[in-house]
Amino acid sequence: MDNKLTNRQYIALILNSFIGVGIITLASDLCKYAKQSAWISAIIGGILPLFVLLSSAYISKKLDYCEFKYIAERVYGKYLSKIIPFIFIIDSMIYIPIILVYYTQILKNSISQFLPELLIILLLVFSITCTSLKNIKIIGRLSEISIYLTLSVIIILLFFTTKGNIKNLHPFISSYKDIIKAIPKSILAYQGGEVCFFLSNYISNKKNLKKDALIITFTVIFFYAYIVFIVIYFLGWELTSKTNSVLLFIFETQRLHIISDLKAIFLIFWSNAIFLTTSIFSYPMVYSLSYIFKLDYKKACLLPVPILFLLSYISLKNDNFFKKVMEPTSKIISFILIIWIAITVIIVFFKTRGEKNA
Amino acid sequence: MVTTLDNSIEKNLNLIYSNMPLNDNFITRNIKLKGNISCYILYINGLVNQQYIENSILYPLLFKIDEELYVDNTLPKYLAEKYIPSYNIKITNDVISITNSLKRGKCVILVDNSDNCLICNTTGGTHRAVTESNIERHVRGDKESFVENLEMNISIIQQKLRNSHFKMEEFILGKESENDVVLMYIDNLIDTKILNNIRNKLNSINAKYLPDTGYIAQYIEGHKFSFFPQTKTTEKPDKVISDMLQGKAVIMINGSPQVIILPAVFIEFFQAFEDYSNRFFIGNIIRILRVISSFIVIFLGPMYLVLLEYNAELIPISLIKIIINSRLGIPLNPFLELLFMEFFIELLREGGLRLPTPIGQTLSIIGGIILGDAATKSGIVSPTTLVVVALSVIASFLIPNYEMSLSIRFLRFPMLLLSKLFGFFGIITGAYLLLLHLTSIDSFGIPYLTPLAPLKTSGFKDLFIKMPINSFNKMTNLFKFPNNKEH
Repeated sequence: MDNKLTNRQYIALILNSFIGVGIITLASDLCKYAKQSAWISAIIGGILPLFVLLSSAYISKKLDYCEFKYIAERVYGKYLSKIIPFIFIIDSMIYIPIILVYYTQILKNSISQFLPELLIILLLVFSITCTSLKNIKIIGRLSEISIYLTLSVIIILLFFTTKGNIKNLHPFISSYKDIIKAIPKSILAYQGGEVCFFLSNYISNKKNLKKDALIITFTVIFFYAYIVFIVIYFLGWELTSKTNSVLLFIFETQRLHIISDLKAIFLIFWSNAIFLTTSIFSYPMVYSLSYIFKLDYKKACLLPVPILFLLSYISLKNDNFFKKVMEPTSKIISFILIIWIAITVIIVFFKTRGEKNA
Repeated sequence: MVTTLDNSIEKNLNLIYSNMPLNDNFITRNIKLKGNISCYILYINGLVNQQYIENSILYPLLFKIDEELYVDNTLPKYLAEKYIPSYNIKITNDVISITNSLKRGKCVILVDNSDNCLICNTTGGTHRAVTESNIERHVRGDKESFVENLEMNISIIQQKLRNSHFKMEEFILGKESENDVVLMYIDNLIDTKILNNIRNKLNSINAKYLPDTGYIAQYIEGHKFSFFPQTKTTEKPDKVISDMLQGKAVIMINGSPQVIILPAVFIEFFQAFEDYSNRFFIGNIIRILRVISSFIVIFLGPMYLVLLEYNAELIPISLIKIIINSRLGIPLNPFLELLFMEFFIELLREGGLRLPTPIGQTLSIIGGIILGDAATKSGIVSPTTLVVVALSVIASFLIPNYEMSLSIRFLRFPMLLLSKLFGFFGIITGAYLLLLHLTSIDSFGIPYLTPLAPLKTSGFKDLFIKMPINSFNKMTNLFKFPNNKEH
């Protein structure tokens, strides 16, 4: 059987690549600047996935939906094309440990206080490697199921609508300047869509790529804006801005007869998304490693394991390293990737101008 | 090597002898037909119906021939047409076919100066009568179940399924035992890729002895180390027919009342045949209960352990008080307590299974009640642990398929270990790895989590909820090779 993705699987894969730690912290990060209008900043930040996904659809279409390595070779030539995979390798090697660190910290502060960080990281890296070893079709199927679990947070959050106060959201637009100030933070939450450049050639029905890009963008924008909106509606912007893991906090406030709070239930749903997000992120890294070093895909899966483990563990133990090296590097790499996408679109536009299918 | 008959009857006899085990029960009966024509009747005593041979073969050949016979190659055919009143007769010169027929209780008639022979169906022997299955009991519907006799099983299917596309393919598998295996399907419903895949796998079986379909399943399953069965086993003809009409194949083997249905996807193991006979709400409530029960089997024990050992803060104060009080003076920690109880339950269950039914039931009930009560009274285990273990055991009985029930039951142990080692995070990781495994396996090319992943909306009419019977056709064919363009 060939290694193909259905359009639904592609949509689920990209959606899962967006939804990571962001959903827990986004409301808090945005409220610090945009106050009760934070949800508007969350919507505006959606311009990044829109740009990335539409660019990918455009480039893929113009270059006959070929594999990433051929895209790189056709656009940048034989030698320059080897540099681009390196950027993706560094991006994944930095971004995956960042997610793992945030996730481990959340676990340590909630349900796994007794567990050494080393063990959490070990188990996480093991799970990511197990997933990466499967081909993209399997990850696509897994995403297809997981996305329903993740999006079910929307339904769970509906229970909070009766407990909030509309006054918490008034006035809807506090200050345009504040909303704009929050946009960079909002854009950061939408990191991860770049993986689409590696997946578009696997889709069975490539004609719908642009439609898929729009579905993904609007779903993820709705998801983020909805979460920020409900959190502000329930807690108010002041409390939201002062609570780091705000989504976890609001689940913690709910009590049932058989369980003290809903935190554990939420973590079960959300952890699945984290496992998958990191596995999806590892795909560009493994692909690029296999391409550059001419390695078998499975061997390339095992190659980054020690680096991921070490970077995650060092970042956990050394906050300075995390804050001053990892986070800034991740932002720089993300910025470089956006520039790379923009340049590639321009080059492809000029190179394919006048061609028959252009 | 010579594989066809010759004109010399002695040569032919020697040829057959060289391909057959010459035991005492291999009978060679020599008779002289009218005109002193030599004739041999060969069969294996015990496999044939002797009375039938005497009445329908020996008697007419010895006493009914009233004409001069013309001795040539057409004589066997002439005898079959005029003198042998057998309902099933075949003329052949192939030695392999002759020896295979003899081993299956058929009778071979050799005539002098003829390079072919007659094979009469004289199969006899004693067989178990068709009765109700002890393993799969239905409240509604057909009570018949398969028996050990292959021909009988085929006839049961053909009595109930009058479809002109119904096809059967015969295989002889097992190098030493030469077991008869039949592959059945509806040729306009089954995907040819799946069918070819099954055929190839059956042909590639390199086994000495195949006494049961369970052996075949293990030879042909793609993921041999998986916890989950990739073929469905049943004794019920109605299930077999229903599944064939969904585009699946069925494998039967002579000597086993269990047949295997393939391909089989995960959700099917939670759908009982009776669901479709029951009314909409009743059928669905039972089906949802089954799905919940499998979660209870896998996760209840580990969750209880985690809540007690690591995350007591997640239990409301009123509940934790009861649990703590019930655990006062218990020497074992919750993990050992659970492990001990689970082990004890497995002992009882396995013990009960091997004993005759009434004794087995008594052992399970008396053992469960008396030992459970004694264990709590003596302070080895707490009553709450007993409740948790008992709940997960009862929940495991709701899963209608025995193989899946076993798989899910034994998944408790790795999950219990993960929860002991890593707490809640261990359960989360275990559940994720389980989901990853389920999505990565397939049954003869059909993804195991179909119709969930890859998503097939048509399959949702009969997934966790069964829509009213008139809004969907149970015969909807989900079992086609994945065609990505459809999505």
